[in-house]
Amino acid sequence: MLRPAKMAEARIVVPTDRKEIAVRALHEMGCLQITSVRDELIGAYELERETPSDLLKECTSLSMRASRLLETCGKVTARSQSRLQNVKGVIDQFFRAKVPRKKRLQARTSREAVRIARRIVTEAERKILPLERRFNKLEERRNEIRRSIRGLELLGRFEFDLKALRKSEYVFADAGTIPSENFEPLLESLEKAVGDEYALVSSDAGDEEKVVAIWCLREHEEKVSHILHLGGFESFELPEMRGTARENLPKVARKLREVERKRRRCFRELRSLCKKHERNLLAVRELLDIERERMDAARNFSRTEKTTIIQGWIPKDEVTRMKRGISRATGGLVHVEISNPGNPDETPPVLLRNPPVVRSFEFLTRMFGFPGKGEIDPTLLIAPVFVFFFSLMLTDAAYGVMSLILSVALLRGVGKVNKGIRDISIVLLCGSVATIAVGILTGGYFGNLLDEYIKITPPRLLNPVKEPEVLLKLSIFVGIAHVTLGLLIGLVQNLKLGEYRRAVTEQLVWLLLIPAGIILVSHYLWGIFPDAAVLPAWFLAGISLAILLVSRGPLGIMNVFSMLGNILSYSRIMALALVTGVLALSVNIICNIISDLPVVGLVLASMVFVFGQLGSFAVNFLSSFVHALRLHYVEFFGKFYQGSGKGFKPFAVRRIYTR
Amino acid sequence: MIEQAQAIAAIGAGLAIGIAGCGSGIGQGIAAAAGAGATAEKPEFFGKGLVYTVIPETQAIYGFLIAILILIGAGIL
Repeated sequence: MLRPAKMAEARIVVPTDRKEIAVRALHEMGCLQITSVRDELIGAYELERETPSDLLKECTSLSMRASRLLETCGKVTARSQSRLQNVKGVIDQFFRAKVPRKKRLQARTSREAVRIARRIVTEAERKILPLERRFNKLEERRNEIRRSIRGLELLGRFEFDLKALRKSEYVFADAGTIPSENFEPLLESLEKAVGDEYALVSSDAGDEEKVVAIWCLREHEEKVSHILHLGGFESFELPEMRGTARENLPKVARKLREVERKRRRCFRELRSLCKKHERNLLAVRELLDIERERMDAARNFSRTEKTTIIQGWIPKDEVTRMKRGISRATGGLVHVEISNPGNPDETPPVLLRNPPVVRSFEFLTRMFGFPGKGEIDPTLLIAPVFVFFFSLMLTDAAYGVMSLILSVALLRGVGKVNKGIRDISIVLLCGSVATIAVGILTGGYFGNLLDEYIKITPPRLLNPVKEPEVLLKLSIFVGIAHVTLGLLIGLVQNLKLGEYRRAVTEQLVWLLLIPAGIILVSHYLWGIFPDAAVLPAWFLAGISLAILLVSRGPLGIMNVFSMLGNILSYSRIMALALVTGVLALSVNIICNIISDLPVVGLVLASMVFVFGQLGSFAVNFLSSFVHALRLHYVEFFGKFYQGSGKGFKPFAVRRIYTR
Repeated sequence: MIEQAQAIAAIGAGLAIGIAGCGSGIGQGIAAAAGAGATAEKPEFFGKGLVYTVIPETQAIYGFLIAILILIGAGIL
């Protein structure tokens, strides 16, 4: 349990005509991490590197085409929902996630898979793409008309015929808006550039904009356009019209309604098409991705004239299953060779193996790094201690219940479809239960709510806010125990690896100094240990300091302070427990003050209580998680764990939409 | 009525946590920026990045500890 799964190196030789079946079987079993066949093997047996199948290109292109269609479907779905529905959708994804219905879609060969995919993607493209193009055109047209309507509305204050805005052989004309502050500088620039050879009408369009229509000789067009551009002029880009702007408005508005109607109808058709094809496309993309992964794996193989060689890492306890599976798939025409990792330069990948509940804590180890050579898998040790630290830091039964509700909601929601979230939820669930227990022991229910405001004194072993010194002692004691455990593990690891010097200078020295320090401090400060213990303690301390001096020079003594810092760092347990109590208490005090306000007092106080306690919970929940993690990563792992290993990535099928 | 000595002790406790918190915050800010950058490039650095980020935090804990000890010693807590 404290060791990762034992790994072996597997070499599989199959006839080339059975290669595809073998790869499929391996992919379905998902127990082998394929590695490139070693160069020395290729040289020794005059092998050749395998090249991926010709189908890979088509497979990739089909997958991209499916993704493009799915992108359209996604946009259509997002547009068909209101903003509120979109927000609800995001919340639902977290708390009411649905496991996608799986579609039966399987192919016996890659060629068959590509054929199926080609049919489905082509059919969806034939239907969706023309409609999408039409919808885009209608939308463009609608925007154009909207722009025109705005222009006409603003030009409605002028009585000139819009015919006058047409550009002719001799006259340049345009109409649009310009920021008010640029208007005077614009007139000056025009004056300078073309003198009085232009005509301009203007009117205010709100506080910040002016509507402007301008005419000039065609020969000045370039200069005038440039000046308008610099002044931030935005043209209405009106189509050719006759009559005044006001006369044209109803006609254009009618056109807008008509285009809008067509656009909506087109959108409905597009939405129903997308709905019809989306599931198929998701399934087909998954099928193509699975096939691509299989074809891509071939880059690592090598071959002789008639056989293909596949190499990879496999957990030792999976060897029999793999052998049986591949033998069945290839009709016994396979040779499997299993060997222990021989090359010291090549470290095998690491697969963590823990009992079911502890397995959910593996992500905490993975986040730091997989165990390196000779290191233990610390997950089993992290699990209970992390929960213990988390609960000691959150120390409030009510917050524990809130955290429990959150973790159960996540577990039943997005946890059903996302393994990462499921693991976090289980970790939080364990932490929440422990927090409720610690909260009951410390009598914390939204801080001092029961004591001060409901006038019930809950039974408690310890009140963190009133007796921080007890909690401080407990935290330091826990710290010493935790650090000592880390040192002991490090000592055993180094001894097993034959690193005796490191065992002495990095672990043993502290294992001597820490008890000696405890005896001396306790004796001189509180008189706990008898005088007889003092001399041996000084002796042990002397030896360990001497080892430090010899092994690391005079600066080695600085390590004593760093170790002291590590142990004192556990006082954050007390700090966070205190913060939880005091923050909740502060919210209660504020509510109490607000509740004295006339009329709205009670309602306002209730709202402040709910949001204040939610905020306090969020802050404390987050810090408890981060600090419990930190105590493991920095103080505990620092004594024995490097986390330099690489994770095991099996060649395995991941199916969400297909079966 | 708080006695003068207790008041001075309370100010001392405040200074202990305040100054330590400022120093720690500045240090942690520098380290966190680098850690976040490294994690953005290589997500597997998250654990190690976190370790470097939280190292200056210990100084704030020292300050907090001193503050608590002052408050306990002065009989305020």
